[in-house]
Amino acid sequence: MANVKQYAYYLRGRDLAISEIDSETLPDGDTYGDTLWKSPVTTVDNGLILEYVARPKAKDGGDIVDETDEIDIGDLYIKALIYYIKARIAEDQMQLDQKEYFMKNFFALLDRRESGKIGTIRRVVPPGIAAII
Amino acid sequence: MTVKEVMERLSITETGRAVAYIKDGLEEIEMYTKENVLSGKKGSLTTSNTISFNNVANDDFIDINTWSGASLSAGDTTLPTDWSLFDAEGGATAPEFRQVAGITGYGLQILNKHSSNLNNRHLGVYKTITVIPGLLYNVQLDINFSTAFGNVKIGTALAIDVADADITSGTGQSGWSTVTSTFTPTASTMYLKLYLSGSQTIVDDIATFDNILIYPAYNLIAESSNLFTSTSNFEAGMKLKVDGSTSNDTDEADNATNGYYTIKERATNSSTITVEEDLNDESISSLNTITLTATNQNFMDIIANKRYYPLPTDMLSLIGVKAKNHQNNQNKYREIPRMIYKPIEQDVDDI
Repeated sequence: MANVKQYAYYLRGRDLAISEIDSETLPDGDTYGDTLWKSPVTTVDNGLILEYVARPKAKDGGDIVDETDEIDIGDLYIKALIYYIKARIAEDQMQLDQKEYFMKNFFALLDRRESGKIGTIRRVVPPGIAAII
Repeated sequence: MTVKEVMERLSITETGRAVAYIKDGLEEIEMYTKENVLSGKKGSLTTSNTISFNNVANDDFIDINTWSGASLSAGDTTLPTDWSLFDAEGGATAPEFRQVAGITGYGLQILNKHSSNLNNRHLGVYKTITVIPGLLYNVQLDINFSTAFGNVKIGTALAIDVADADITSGTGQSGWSTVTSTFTPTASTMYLKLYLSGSQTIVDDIATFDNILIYPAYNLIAESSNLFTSTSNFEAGMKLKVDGSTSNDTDEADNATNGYYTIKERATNSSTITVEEDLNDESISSLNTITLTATNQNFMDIIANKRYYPLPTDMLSLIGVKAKNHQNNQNKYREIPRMIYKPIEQDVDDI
């Protein structure tokens, strides 16, 4: 049976830092205590699972590189994407009023999609026991 | 919607510019919506008598370099052994077959005897070959087309141009040359066709073929019960660890210096996965209990005394981190908390 572990993480630049609680008897003069957060104590194969948001890719799973690649997002987001690119083109041409107009429509479409996902009332509830930050 | 369709809607003609804008836009959308969530995916398979390893470089697979049965003299229509007459349209005068000197040994010469030119006709030989569908194959052969239109095609049917891989076709090549190509079969039985065609191919025109090699582009791990299914989570791009084999375990050994293989492809019949790293040939053995574990990049190893782990390059926003045996001893993965302060104890090597 595996040993019970106690891990925590923090971020350092582009790295994920993993720390583990370890107990040791400290020498005289070290007054910190005998329970320390350290680097991981033992090696664990496939010990971590990350869950994260990634940029969508082409529908075949590859990167978007040429004209035949199919963009893997919903139709409403395609409309938003069109507005975004129009804004970028306007910005390149220093037509800043047009840029602002297109960006406004870009965010309006994203908001509409976001609102559409939740059909019931919104209510704030207290966080559960897992909400340690 | 494709990139081209987006470009047309925006009247952009430069592909690179459009792709750059699209990628920027997708990042903005994703940062806002957080819909494209990637999480850990894992495939695991333990078996004692179904897994074998094959280093492609050590094998010839399909190697056709002899043409016994065909005559060494002119004027003979006898086919080479194991080959059949290919007359796609039917009713043509049979060509003559002859063994002639190739780059090494003898090649097969096909000589047209049809009375008129071969416009809309395809005459030669064919045979079936057994391959693994869905895997990339390399093809190499020697050709000498003289003045005739010579063709080499591999397809799922005898009919011309039906799902064919067009390995080579051409005319007027003086002397022997070696052609290389690739194809991905869509069925396990494919037809290999060598033939003459073309409006300029007339009576007594010849094409000669030899030294045909067909072999997978990557090294093979085969499972005889076809358990590498689409739902078993053995997919291209995943890290693969092997434990229990005689000579292919992954543990930062010579054949997997980084401690794992990377899956390149999965056969559509679920029989095989391929890896680019070197393998050692190893037959199915009931003596070894072999465990294959495939994980996507969202799984990471915890390494003793190593504190820092690079985050995936395609990550826009971290949602959570789970660790094995965190507050349990049942090998469960549980969400671990984020620390507000760094640990007071310094990492030994700070890397």
